[in-house]
Parts: sequence; C-alpha cells; structure tokens
Amino acid sequence: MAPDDASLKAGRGLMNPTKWPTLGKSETALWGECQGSGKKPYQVSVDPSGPAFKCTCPSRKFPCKHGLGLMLILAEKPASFKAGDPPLWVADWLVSRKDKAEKKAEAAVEKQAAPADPAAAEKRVEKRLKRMKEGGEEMERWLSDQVRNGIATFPQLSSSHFTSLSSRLVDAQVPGLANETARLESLVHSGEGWPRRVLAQLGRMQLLAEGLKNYDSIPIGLQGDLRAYLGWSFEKEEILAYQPHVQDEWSVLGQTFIEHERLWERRTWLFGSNGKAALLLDFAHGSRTFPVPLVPGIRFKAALAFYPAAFPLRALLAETPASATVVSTPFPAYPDFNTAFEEIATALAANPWLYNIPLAIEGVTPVYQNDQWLLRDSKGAIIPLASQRLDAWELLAVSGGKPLRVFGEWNGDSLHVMSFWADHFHTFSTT
Amino acid sequence: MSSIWTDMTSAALLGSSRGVVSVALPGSLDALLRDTTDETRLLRAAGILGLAQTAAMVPPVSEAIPESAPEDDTAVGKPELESLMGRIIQNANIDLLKEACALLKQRGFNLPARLLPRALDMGQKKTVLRSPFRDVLGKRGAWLAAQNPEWKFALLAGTETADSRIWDEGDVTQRADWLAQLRSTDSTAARELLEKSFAGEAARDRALLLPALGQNLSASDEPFLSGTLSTDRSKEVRQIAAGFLSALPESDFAKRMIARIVPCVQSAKKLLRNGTVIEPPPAFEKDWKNDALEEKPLPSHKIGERAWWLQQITQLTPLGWWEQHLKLAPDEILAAASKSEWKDALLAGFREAIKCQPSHTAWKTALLSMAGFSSEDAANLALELPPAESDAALQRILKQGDNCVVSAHIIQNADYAWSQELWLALLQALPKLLKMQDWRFRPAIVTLACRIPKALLHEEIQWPDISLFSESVADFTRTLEQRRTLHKLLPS
Repeated sequence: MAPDDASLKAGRGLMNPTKWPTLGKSETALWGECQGSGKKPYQVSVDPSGPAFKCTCPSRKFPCKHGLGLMLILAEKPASFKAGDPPLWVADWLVSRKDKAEKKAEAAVEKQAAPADPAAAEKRVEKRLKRMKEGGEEMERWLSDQVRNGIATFPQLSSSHFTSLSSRLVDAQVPGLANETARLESLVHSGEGWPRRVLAQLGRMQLLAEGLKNYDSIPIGLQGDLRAYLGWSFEKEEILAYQPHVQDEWSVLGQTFIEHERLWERRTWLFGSNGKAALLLDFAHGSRTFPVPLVPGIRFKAALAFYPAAFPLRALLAETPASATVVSTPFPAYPDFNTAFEEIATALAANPWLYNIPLAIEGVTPVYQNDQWLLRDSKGAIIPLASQRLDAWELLAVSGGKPLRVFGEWNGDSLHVMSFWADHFHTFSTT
Repeated sequence: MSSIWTDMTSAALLGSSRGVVSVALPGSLDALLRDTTDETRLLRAAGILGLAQTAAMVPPVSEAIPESAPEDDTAVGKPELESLMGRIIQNANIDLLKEACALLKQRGFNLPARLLPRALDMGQKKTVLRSPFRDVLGKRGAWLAAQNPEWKFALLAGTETADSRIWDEGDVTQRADWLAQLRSTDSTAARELLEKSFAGEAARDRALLLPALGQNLSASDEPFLSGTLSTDRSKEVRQIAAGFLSALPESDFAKRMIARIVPCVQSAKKLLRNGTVIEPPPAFEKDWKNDALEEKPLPSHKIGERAWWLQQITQLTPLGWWEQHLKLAPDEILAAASKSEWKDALLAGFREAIKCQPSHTAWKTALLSMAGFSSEDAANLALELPPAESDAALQRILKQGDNCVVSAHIIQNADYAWSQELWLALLQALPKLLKMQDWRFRPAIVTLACRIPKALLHEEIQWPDISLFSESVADFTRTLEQRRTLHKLLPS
C-alpha cells in the first residue's frame, strides 16, 4: 500500500500513539491529529474500506506517512483509537467522497448507454472529416490538372500516375476515392471509346469530391450514401443498434467474390419478397470462408438492418438466417428495360453516386450478334450483356432463344447477369 | 447530347491549357456550372451529363426477333444425372466422357442445355471427343453451334445418322464415320462417293476420309487407289493408298513390290537346308518414289539407308507372297528372319505390313508369340488388333507385370471396354507395377478407373500406400465413383 520503502519506514516511525494527540474511529473512518513540523497538527483521515486517505500535510506522496501510520496503528494497536462520531473535518471529507462515488457510478451507467464520450467522438469525426476533406481537395486539384494538361496521353502513362494518387487518398482516409481512381485507370485501358468513359469517370470523381466538400450541408441520408463511396464505414454495432430492422424472407440472387491482397470480399445480393434489394458485404482474411454461408438460390427468414442512405441497399444481417429453403418461385422483376430505367432514374435522383444497381427483368432474350452479347426485352429494346464468355453462352443455351427472367448488376452501360429464372432458378456453372 | 460529349471529350483529350473550353449544359443545368474554373466546369459538366445519361437511358430497339432453338425434349431431365454430367465434364477424363456419351445416347438422352457450351468448347479442342459429343448435343447443341464459328463440328448434331446431309455439310470426322458406315453396307457406293469429291477435299481431310476404304477392300478399288497413289499431292494420302494396294495381291502395285523384294530374298538351299539369305537392295531406283517409297529415313529412325529400303519394301509386299515363295508358315518365316543380320528391318516391315493386311491372322499370332519380341513391340502390335484378339494378347503381356512403362502404355491405349480376364490380369500385376515407384506409371492410374469392366465396378481395390501415387489414386477414386453413379443412373 505504501508508495515506497521510505514512506513505509516513516509510517512505522509514527506508530507510537504518543505522537498522535487525538486518535479516533467510527464505523466508516479512522482519524487522528499528528504533530508535524508546523504549529498546527496535521489532520489525517482514512477510510479503511477503500482504503482512502486524506491528510493536510504538504507531502506529495500518496498515501503520506501519516495515513500509513494510522493504518499501522489500526493493525497493531487498535485499542489506541477512541470510538466516537467523527469530527467535522472528517465528516466533510466522508460526504464529499460519497458524492464522488455516486457521480462515478452514474457516469459508468451513462457510459454504458453512450459508449464514447459524445464530445470526444464528435472531435474524432471532425478530425477525420478534416483529413478526408483535405484528401478530396487534393483529388479535385489532381482532376483539374488532368483536364488542363489533356488526357490524350493517359494510355501511355505508367500505372504510378494513378496509384500515387490512390495511396495519398488512402492516407487521407478516403479509400473509396482510391477505388474510384483504380476504376479510372481500368477505364483508360477499356479499349475503343475510352476517352468518353474516362471523362465520365473524371466527372463522377469531381461530383464525389464536391459532395465531400459540402458534406455538412447535404441531407443525412445522402451523407450515408456518400460515406459508402468515400469508404468511410459505419460501425456495425451502430447500424444494428440505431437502424430499423426489416424482417422479410430473403432470396440470395447473386454473389461475387473479390480478392485484394489476401482480403476476400463477398458481395451478396438479396431480394425481399416484394423485390426490395439488399447488399451484404462480408470480408475474410486469407481464405474465402465466411462465418455465415450464403449460397445463391437459397431463401431464408431474417431481419436486416440497412445502412443509412437516401437509397438504401447495403445492409447487415441483424440475426442468423432461419428456415432456409430454395428459391422456388420466380423472383420479382420489371416487365422491361424502360420501366427499370425509370426506377433507376428515381434511385439516381436520391443518390447521384449510385453504381452497380441491382436489376431484375423478365421476358429477356440473350442475343449474340457481330461478336457482341446483348439482352433484348419483350419490347425489342436491347442493352449490352456483360458476363464472362462461358456464362453468356450458358444463358443462351438454357434460353434456347426464348425469353427468360434475369437478375444482375447494372453499371450504367451493361448488365452483368448473375442468375436467372427459366423453369427454375439458375446460377452459372463457373460460380 | 452526343455532340456535347464529343466537344467535351476533345477538350479533355487536348487539355484546357491548349484551348478555350466552352462547355454549356442545356437549360437550367447550366446554372450548375457558374462561378468556377474552366477545368471544374468541364469536370462538373461531365459528371452531371454522365449521371443524366444513366438516368435518362433509353435503350435502342431492335426489330429483329432472335431465332429460337427447335423444340427438343430429349435433354436429360433428372437433376442427379444433370449434376453428374456437370461433374464428368469438369473432370474432363476423355474415356469417361466417351462412356457417358455412349450411355446417354443409348437411352436417347442429350446433355442438359447448361452444359452444352462447355461440351462444345471441349469438342473444339479435342477432336476425339467430337463424335461422342455430337451424339448427345442434340438439336439445341446444333442451334448453339450455328452461332459460334468455333463450334462448326457440331452443326449437324441431333441429325439422324443416315441423313446424307452429313456427307455434304458435316465436319470431317463426322463424314469419315458416315463414309465408313456406308462402306460397310455398300462398298461400291462409298468408293464412288469418295472418288467424286476427293480431288476437291483438303489434304488433311483426304487423309482422314481415305481410311474408310480399308473395310471390304476389293480389286474394284484398285483404279481409284492407283490413281490416288500416282497423282495425289499429299505424301500421307499416297502412303495410305499404297498400304491398301499392298493388301490387293493381284494389283499392279503388289506385283511391282514383289518384283522388288524377289532379288533381296535369295535361297541358299544348296549350303544349308531351307536357308534363306536376305540382301537389301543395293540402290534406290528412280521409279520407287512413285510407289510412295522414301529414299531417306527420318534421322530419328536410326537406321541405315539400305535397311530402310528393305523395311519399306517388306512393309508393302503382300504377306501371302512370302508363304508361297518360301513354302513356309508365318512362324517359320519369322524365325528365319530373326536369324538374319537384317532382322530389325525385316521385323519392322512385317509389323507394319500386318496393319495394312489385317486379314492374315496367322501372321499376327506368329508375330505376337515370337521369342525375342520385346514386350513393347508386342504391346504395340497387340494394340493394333481388333479388340477380341488384342485383349488376349494384352493379357499375356500384363501378366508378366515386369515393365511399368509398357503396362502404362497398354492401359492408356487400349481404350475399349476391357474383358474381365484382361482386368484381372492387370490387377494381379498391379502391386508389382506400383512398387516400382516409376512416375511414368502415374498418368495410367486414373485411366484404370475407366478400364474396369462394368461387372467389376464395385470390387474393392487395395492400393499400396505409395505417396508418389496418392494424388492419382484420389483421382482414380473420384473417377470410379462417377462411373458407378453413371451406371446406376443409366443402367444399360
């Protein structure tokens, strides 16, 4: 209990009760007055249950030799203490101690409800937002530089032209913008017609940067969407605790796996019974094994918590999937492309940065002509089909040239079909 | 809108430092571009337009209605069978694929639609699978193949095999099958059909079609074969024609060959009873080239020129001539030949000759039972016999179980349904073969799973624990399991 050997020795030196003009004790405290070097004796109080000490001596050591001395007398000569009500100076100390203890307990309770000190949390958010905004400004300057110098030389530039910006954006805690930069680079090498695709992506990045600049003044929901594209994720616990849970029967309609330096990302698309789409993102280190197995073609009951967004898509499983069966009825789908695109326009009005939009359409026929894969809807409208070669052939083989119902991701240019319905639910042999 | 894009794209390509960028957006959108630099105006405009374009997407309309596949309800319906076929295609074991296709065909089933692209890709890469796949691709497969030039071989899948369209439009392997079929029922019609189109065929196709005449060969084929021998531009085709002509002992070709071999075979009766002295030709005569004889051996042959000439002439001489000329039976002729200092050339010639003159059964038996014949040579010869004869010969070789390379060669090349006896002979030899721990035996292990006769599919096999082979044994087990399921689902 003693802070060091010297204090203990000094304490022992005070064990003689004659050095203490008064020595008293109550149920909750010990006290004594000890003659020190000064005129007025030091007033020493001890709460042995703590133990807690209070002394009027100027020593910086804690507990001081006087407190220790009292405890030692209690241990070896308890009879030296005269029982009675504590004097006023002791009583005051005891009351103040009790108040503090209660406040501490209250604070602990409050802490449990709001885990972080809200002020500190706010400070952290401010700090991060500041760094992110600096990153966004840096990207904006970079974008302007590109357009000033001309993008004609992009295909000849080394990869570091883009990756150095990416890594600066990661440092600025906007990894989502780093991903946008990577996509920009891939579009540079996307073949004929690349300048227009690259320019559209540069424009998209400009709008993201401007969104970040005005982060504080945009609506809360849109802030959530923007955060997703900036790579500023929410704590899972926050989402589960504060977002409403949506109970439904969910069908797994599509799944892709992406690997980044041994980090596996699993993207799983779910459809609720009314066609409400949800995207689950899971991450696993080292291998492609995930704690909750989700396989396309299964259907399960669960509550999902959606991330805050103007057009909510990303969600978390709020409970373990239950009563899993197979997808045995056709999933809800739009009747044709134009109806789907009208819905997409509404979604984009809510979230202008939306990308990879889930889309289910019925009455679609795959067509292969002039080395191009297309999907044709019941009204004859055609859009490009973006799927791996064998998947596209498989879709055509199963269709037999007849209309079927497809589900996929729409990236603004083409539909990447992930599953389809023709008599029963199909995914592709490659996946 | 597209002209704005064009302007913006050229501005961005060139760079705003090299020219004035005047970007304007239609209507009220333009207000969004105010109060900023030229670069930001351009970027913001691109962002807004990109978004507007996605939001206001109106896909083009195509009037052309895609052609759908003809009705066909022969695809495998059972989910277990469908998933089994998926696994078998993924396994890509050629023997197993052939067996599976044959069993499906027997039951009148075709592959499920979703597997067709994979099967078509495999058929395109592996010619041996074309014919088996064609039997189970069905009309849906042919419809699909019509849309991909790489899959031409399957254009006539699902067509009745008797359909003469196969001859006019089919893939060369399919036409060869069809021609062989016709040859077995109407040999003259087959030859006449081939003769009519022969000159117009590609060299590679001629070499694949001509072997169909090997069946029911007769003197009436001589004019076509002689013509081909003297005029065809492909050496390979001329050699096939020469081989067939050698099997017609009355042909002019056979007579010319006999005239060439006679001086090489001198009777030495006076010195030694039944003694025969062999002396290769001293020179390569000019006209020999016309009969598909080669003056120079390939360097890989490691044979002298004179021996090489002797081997070729022996190969193309009617086997019956030897019996008549020497008044000896085939085994006696071979015994005498093996004493000659030219025995390598002679025996190689005989081994080749029997391939073109397969009706001389006594020669086969004699060749196979010859002492001093290496098991490798014996195996090669046995593999060229029709299955029933081959089977018996291979059994004898496998029972020795002393050469794992030869055994591996047999396992991989005797690609027909083995008899129980042949399989049991192999099983007996197997422990010995495996314990040699020769990596060259490894690829044969998985093939073994395809050689087990149907009746023995469920017998247990004890594999010695040899780590060198553990992966192949796992492969064996998987393949065997697929075969068992296949026969369970498609009992024949």
